[in-house]
Amino acid sequence: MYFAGVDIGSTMTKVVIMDEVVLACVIGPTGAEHRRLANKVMEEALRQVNLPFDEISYVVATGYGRISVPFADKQITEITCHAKGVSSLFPTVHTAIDIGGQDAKGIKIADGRVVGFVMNDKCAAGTGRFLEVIADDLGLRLEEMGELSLNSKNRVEISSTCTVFAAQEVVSRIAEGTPIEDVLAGLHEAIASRVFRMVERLKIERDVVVTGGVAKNIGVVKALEEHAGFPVLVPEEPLLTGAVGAALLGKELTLKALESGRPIERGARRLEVATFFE
Amino acid sequence: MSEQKNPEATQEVPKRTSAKKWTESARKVRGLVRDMYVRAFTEGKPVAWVMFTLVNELFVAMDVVPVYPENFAGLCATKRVGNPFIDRAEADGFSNVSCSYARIGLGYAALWKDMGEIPSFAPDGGMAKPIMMVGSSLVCDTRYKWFQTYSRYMDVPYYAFDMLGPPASTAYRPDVREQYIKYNLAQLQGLVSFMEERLGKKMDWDKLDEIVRRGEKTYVLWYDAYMLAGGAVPCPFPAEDSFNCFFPAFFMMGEVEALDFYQGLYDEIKYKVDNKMGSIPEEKYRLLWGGGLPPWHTMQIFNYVEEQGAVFVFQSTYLPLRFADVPDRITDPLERMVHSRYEAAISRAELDRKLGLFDLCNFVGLGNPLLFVDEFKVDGVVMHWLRSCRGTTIGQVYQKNLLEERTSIPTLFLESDMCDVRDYFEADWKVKLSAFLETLEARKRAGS
Amino acid sequence: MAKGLDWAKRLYENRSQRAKELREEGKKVIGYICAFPPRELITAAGLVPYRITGTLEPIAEADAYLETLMCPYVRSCLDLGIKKQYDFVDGMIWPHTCDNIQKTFDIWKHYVPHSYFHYLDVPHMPDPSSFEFFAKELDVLKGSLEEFGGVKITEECLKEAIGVHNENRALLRQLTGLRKQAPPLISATEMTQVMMAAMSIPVYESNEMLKNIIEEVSTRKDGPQNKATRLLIYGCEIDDIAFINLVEECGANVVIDDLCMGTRDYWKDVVMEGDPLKNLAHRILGEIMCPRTFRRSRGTRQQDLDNRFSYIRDFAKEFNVNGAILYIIRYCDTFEFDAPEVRDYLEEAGIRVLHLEDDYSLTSIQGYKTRIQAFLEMIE
Repeated sequence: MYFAGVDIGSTMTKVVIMDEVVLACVIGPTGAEHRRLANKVMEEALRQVNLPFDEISYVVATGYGRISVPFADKQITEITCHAKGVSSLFPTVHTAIDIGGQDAKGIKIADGRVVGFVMNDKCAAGTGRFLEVIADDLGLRLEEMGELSLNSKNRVEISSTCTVFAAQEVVSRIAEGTPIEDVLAGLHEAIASRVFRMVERLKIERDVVVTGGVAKNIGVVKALEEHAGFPVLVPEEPLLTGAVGAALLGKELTLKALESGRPIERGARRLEVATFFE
Repeated sequence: MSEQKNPEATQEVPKRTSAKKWTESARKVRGLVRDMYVRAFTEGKPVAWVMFTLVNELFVAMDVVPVYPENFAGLCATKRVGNPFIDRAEADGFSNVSCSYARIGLGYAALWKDMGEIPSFAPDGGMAKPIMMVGSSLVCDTRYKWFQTYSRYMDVPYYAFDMLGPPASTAYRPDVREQYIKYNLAQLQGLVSFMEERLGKKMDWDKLDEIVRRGEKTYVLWYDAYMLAGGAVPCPFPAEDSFNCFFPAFFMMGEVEALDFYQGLYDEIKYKVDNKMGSIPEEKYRLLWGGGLPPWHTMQIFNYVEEQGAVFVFQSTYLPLRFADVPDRITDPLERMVHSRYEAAISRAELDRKLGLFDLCNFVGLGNPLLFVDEFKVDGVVMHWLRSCRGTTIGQVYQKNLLEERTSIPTLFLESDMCDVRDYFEADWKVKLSAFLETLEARKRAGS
Repeated sequence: MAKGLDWAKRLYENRSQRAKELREEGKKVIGYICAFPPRELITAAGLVPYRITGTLEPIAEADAYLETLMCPYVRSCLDLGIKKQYDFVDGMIWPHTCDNIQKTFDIWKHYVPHSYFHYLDVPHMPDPSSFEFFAKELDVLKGSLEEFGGVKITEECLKEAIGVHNENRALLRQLTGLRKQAPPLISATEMTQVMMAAMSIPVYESNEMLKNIIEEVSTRKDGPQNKATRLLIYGCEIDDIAFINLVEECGANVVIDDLCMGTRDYWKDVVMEGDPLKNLAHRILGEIMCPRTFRRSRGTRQQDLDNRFSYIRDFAKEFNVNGAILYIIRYCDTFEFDAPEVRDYLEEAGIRVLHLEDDYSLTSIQGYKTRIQAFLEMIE
């Protein structure tokens, strides 16, 4: 049997197909235009494993765009899915920190289950969006920011927590002649500190796994470790934990139904363009 | 909690955040503040954590060392060491819009409990462990709620009491006066009973009487000194100094040192006024700090405007209360306390009437700018919106509106917080302040 | 004329309709904000009590009169006032319940003029002297309403008004009782509409409506569906169905609340025997469980917490809930300070808690969907 997880985030669409192991994973393009085309990402994943859509026993959609996926059997929030995905990769995890494009969340996990969570999606500071804004202002590529910041000898302090003000602060520091790596290090610290403080409300326990697009930024990860006082774990592909968790939860539901002899509750799924605007 | 450590002064943060002091008196305050925290550790007397509520005299009379967590929070902010406390309180779920004095105060107790000792970065050695806490409903809701929550971190009996005031416009009515004085007196008696029980001794009423009467003299000197300074051209005592010099009035009232301090302040200001000694060389613009607590995290900002020829000649946030003389027939010291505080409200209402503000400012604008702009020859008003203080923020827009209805004096709103430096953006403040001074300049040119 | 729930729904959608009609007939309408002003005195004076509320629509006018860094609920109420939505209100009773309300008194009075305006001081302490003070305040209010209404409020007519309002509260409690079973006979969304409607019309009509609704609901076949999770909602002012409806749509039955426009308003009655003003003072100051009133406890921390919050835990048990949502309006200081304590207290009692801090607007409410769903997934 095959199971699929579809994670429609604010900037990326992720699809995972699995049976006992992950068979295919596709990370789709970003942007409002492409977001509707989650079906294309699904089709790409199906092509990789050479399966028709009907062969997929169960599809779980998650993420910001989960509600309007016409080809899903069930919607489950990214919080539950991340917890599942992260604990399948790291059974020792007790705290997951996910920093995505538009939000940041902390999840407390016990035995693979969510026991508490916190979330920030009202303010860009402390999310990937914040880094994008600054990268744009500085004419840097997102990917190079992390490594660059590791060269910092004298990190500046970015005190403001507002994205607009912090961006101004960054620009004025650069104008003053502060080395860019010191400014970037300050920036990463600002994000890490904000996210860490939020997640600290759950009483952080080891092991800590960091996921989401920002987990690819080594500068932020190092800054988080500094706050935690111990190393954190980062999955090989930190964008996929939500989709993996979604597929796993679909599998669980299916097996449970089979075991109890109940029919599997499935959606009237159609592999077509998602409608986000009802 | 573990044994308390001896107080040790923590290191100054490298970046200067406090303002330059212009008066000898203001320079003395830092020592008085340090003394408050050190005495709590060294004198061996019982310690109380108290919200400022105009009842310091009771603690002096009972030989208790009062420590004021709201002052401690301001001190932490000035040293820029408040944020670890804030973070700790927020980690427990306290909102980032809850009073930052409270967040620092609660975070302090929480970290103390976590670490088993007073955090080493606590300024002035931190606050010694109390045997009681006292809060009240005077000024704002936080003042009775905050201490209730300390039981999360420390097991100390807490007493809260009411200190209510009627709408200013009805304060003069005999029935209203009787109702409020009776209630506030009963509430103070409740506090005294609690203290007696906690301390295992009775109040010495004669001693209290002496202290209260000393306090009455102190209040008068405080008021006279501040008002004398506000009206003087050039200004000898800018707002940043007066934001320091309220300390003895709030936190040492009834002590001989407080009386001496205000006598000294009055004398110093009088001397400077008589000799026309201003603080800055050329006083181009006279500003009024017309509302909101100061930015304790960056008091240095006052020097920034001074560099541009502007000076805050007065702040109306910590407004000295003009206590009318309490008649001699009132001999009970508690009654004298309640009476004098109540009469202050009446004298304020009378002032409102003179200015045509009667019944307009019953609960907002204790320090309404209209009370001062003419008398102190003010060119512009600056007010401070605080993310975490409803008590001094609500009503600022209303006061600006009233000011605009009656005068052409412009108002500038700045936004941050009294302690939480994360809400402060210096570049924004500097741009706004400079632009405001340019506006004043343009108005002067147009007017002349 | 509409009956039962339909009656309530129509009133909810056009809250001021009945009050405006009554005014046309020559009645006078007295507005009040918060659960603390004594409706009984307004009724006894022959006046129509009307609860002032806000709206989730964006605040447009109030920015010119109030700071944005304060309670968005109070700002929204003022916004409606400035927009002349409360022009049908002849007079206002303004209680000193919290900083946000107290300090808006001057501003409301200045910019939303009514022919009658009364400030009601409410002590924060629960001492004998506090009750005495507050009874005196109520006596002053009584005199002032007598003057405004041109009537004399005799002890007999005040007691009668108290009786009718007690009946109103009893009916609301009876209706709430119908939420105990699974599925509850009335949804929280409907309950909110009923509550809002009940506070927009004279108490006699309100009682009639409630009896009507109880009759309808008791026998209904088309009631709420049984959902996996039963929730309690704790918080302050919720005067709109948007949030509660969202929670129910996410897959829960909201079966009990502790809200200003919910049980907090009607759970306790006024004692009938003895001095009516003292009894009113006792109910308002002593029994409205709002964190703005200090509860004295000389005992241990646990005793203090029980003293303040055990009634919430009891609600949870009685209504068999498996989770609680704390819906706290940002800048509501007294609730903000209690929220972490309530959260820990309920968690300690085995009730899972979702703590939300909201700025009281439609857009922010919709943003909570993921959190609520994740919470439901967590406790299912």
